[in-house]
Amino acid sequence: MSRKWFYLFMLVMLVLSTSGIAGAQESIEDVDPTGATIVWWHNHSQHREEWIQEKIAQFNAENEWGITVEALYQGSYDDIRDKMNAAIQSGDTPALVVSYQNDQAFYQQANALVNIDDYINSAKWGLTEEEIADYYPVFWKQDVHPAYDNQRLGFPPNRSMTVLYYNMDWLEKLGYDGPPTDWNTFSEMACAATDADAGTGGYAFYDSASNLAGMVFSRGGDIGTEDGLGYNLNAPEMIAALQWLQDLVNDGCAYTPSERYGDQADFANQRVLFTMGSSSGIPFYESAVNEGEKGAFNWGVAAFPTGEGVDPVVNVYGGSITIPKTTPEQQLAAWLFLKWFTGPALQAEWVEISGYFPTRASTVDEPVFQAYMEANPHYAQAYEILGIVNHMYEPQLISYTEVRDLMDQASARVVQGENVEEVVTWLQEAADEAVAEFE
Amino acid sequence: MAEHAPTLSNTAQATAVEGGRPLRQVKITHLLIYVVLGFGVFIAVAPFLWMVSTSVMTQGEALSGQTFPKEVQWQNYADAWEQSNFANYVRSSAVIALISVSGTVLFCTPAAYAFARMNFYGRNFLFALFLSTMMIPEAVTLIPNFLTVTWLGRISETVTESWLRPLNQGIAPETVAQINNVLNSLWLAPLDPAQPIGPLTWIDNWPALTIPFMASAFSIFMLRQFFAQIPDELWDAARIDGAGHLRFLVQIVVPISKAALTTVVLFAFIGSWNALSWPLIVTNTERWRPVSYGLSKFVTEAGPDMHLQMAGSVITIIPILVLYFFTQKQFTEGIATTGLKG
Repeated sequence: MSRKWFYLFMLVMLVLSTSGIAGAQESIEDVDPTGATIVWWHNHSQHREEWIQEKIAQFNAENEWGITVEALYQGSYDDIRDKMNAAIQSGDTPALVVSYQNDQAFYQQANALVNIDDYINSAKWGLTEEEIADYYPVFWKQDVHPAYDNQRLGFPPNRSMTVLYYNMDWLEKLGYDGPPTDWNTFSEMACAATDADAGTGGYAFYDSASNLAGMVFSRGGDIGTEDGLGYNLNAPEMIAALQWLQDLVNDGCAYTPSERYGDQADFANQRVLFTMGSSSGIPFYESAVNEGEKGAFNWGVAAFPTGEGVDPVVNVYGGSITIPKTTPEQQLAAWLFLKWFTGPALQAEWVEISGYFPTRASTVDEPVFQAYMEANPHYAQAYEILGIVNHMYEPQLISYTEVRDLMDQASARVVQGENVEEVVTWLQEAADEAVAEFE
Repeated sequence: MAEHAPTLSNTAQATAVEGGRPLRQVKITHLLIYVVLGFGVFIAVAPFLWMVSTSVMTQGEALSGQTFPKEVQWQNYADAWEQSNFANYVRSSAVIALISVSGTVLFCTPAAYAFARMNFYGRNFLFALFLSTMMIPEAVTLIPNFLTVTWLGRISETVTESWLRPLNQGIAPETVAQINNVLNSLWLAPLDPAQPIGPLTWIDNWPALTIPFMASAFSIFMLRQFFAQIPDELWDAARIDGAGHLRFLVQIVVPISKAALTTVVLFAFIGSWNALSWPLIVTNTERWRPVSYGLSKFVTEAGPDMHLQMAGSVITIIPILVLYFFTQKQFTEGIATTGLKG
């Protein structure tokens, strides 16, 4: 008798839960976004903001539902995180906001975001399978959070990656015919370029969690655990990366510039052979090199060198756009705008304005994109690398904001001569504490 | 002293003495002092000179770390002004600073006076409590302050709306338009002249940007230190003439505290002018965004437009320099007489 009641109870629950899912789907299908007004908080200033305003005016004038979007610049990612935190507390969030994956996790801890998969999978408002397949898989996957039942908490309008900037003319003078493909050769080249009398160095290094993550990835490691819920910072690849850095500094072949963007300035003035940074910095390197002290020179970008037996891999990252919970009408309006904004034609224009990578493969067919590639050979070089290497990304955890600082500290301590294994042990423990505190 | 003064007629000029010390030693001492002071001046002025130099460079020169531009780019100032909509931000900042500074002086002066010259139960405890708020980092108080301001804003909106309703109903639309135009010309309300007079909102409006700073613990502390030094005889004399606390404050204390008040004004102005985090939290639109926000727009995720940012920085600090130029005597005196100097 009791078993019968149990099965009956389970059946009822199943029906209810299924109808609930169907209800959620139906509710999205039935929502009418007509006349909705939504606000988008973003971090794009200057010409990027002008372009965004222009496109939004176009969307507002042309969209069939009469949706009105207002885009507001709200400072840097950090500023926006603070502002969103305050907005969530006061219950006055915008309908769209730019965010990194760790920020998304932070907002979702307060259950403040929409699972965008609900909209993507909508028969009426969603994306077709063809459209989904158009997104680069790594970019598509990056906003899906294992810590939140694989909910999609963001949508990718653009991405960047870590790259190695190298002085090709200098390499040729040193007898090399291209950038290094493994870390030992990198060290050899960097030391060959180092000359204390001439005031030149091999590698200008600054504390950067993303660069350090890239160095670990390129040695076949990962800084996150496989389940995406923790950190793997005392792995052999991390030890190898930091030991390599310490050795290079001890040999006098790497140094930390004293000023912000000092690595870029030294590179432009041919005082250093290698730097590492984001591909989105290419236009700034271009500008700096063209007006460097010793005149322009032939330079390039490459994927990070790799460890033995490891295929080339790059660290990809970028701010996505999330949909905070507002009203059903505003949420749907936000999705419809997002869908429009990430179309291939606009992606191509966005590349031209921002220097970011597009997230949809079909963007390459756009004449605007092709023209941009032709006019910007270093961007084209980076984009080509993106297409032929493996991709990895950094953890999507709330604690990663804190752990990034810890990774910077670890790099600095190693460069100052502390024992690498001790530093890495400390790093793992501190990261575990951060997980316990924030997740 | 006369017998020690060096004279040109003295054949042993090199060994002449001043104040009991050989002249050569005096000169070397002076030289060392000048070298040390010169080094200090260089340390203080170098960033300023770097900013000015970078502000007239091309983007490439700035990014490649050049010291001087090959050709001076005056155009950067116009570009910075236009690209970042500086005219709007400067105007917003000026109004915000004016209201903040006025409010600070208005509220901090009587508060400081009470702590310095009135005896009441729990005075020292309250003062210590007040001072302790200075130890809390801004980041910690950001969200609670925002929630407080949001809450006060909702009350303000409800109350002012109920006050304005009969007013809006009772006056002609032309009069409403005139009132709105006046408020707009004072940069005090984002109003459409054709609309009824709106309620006083706090978020994205001047109250949230100014009112929280009007009771500044630092300003109260500084004024209190100055007021506490005023001789009791003045108070006794004022009482004999029939003055109470308010009259003593207004007619005696304030006039002789110009140096301290000038210092408070200068600090409050600089604090208001340079603020960024709080204005970003409590504003959503461009209208009340300050000049520091305009500067932040020159830095993108990928890198900075450093030449324009420095041009904007030069523009931004001009009001502070002008204010300091006109108040430096009182400012120095204020610092010296309130126990703030090291």
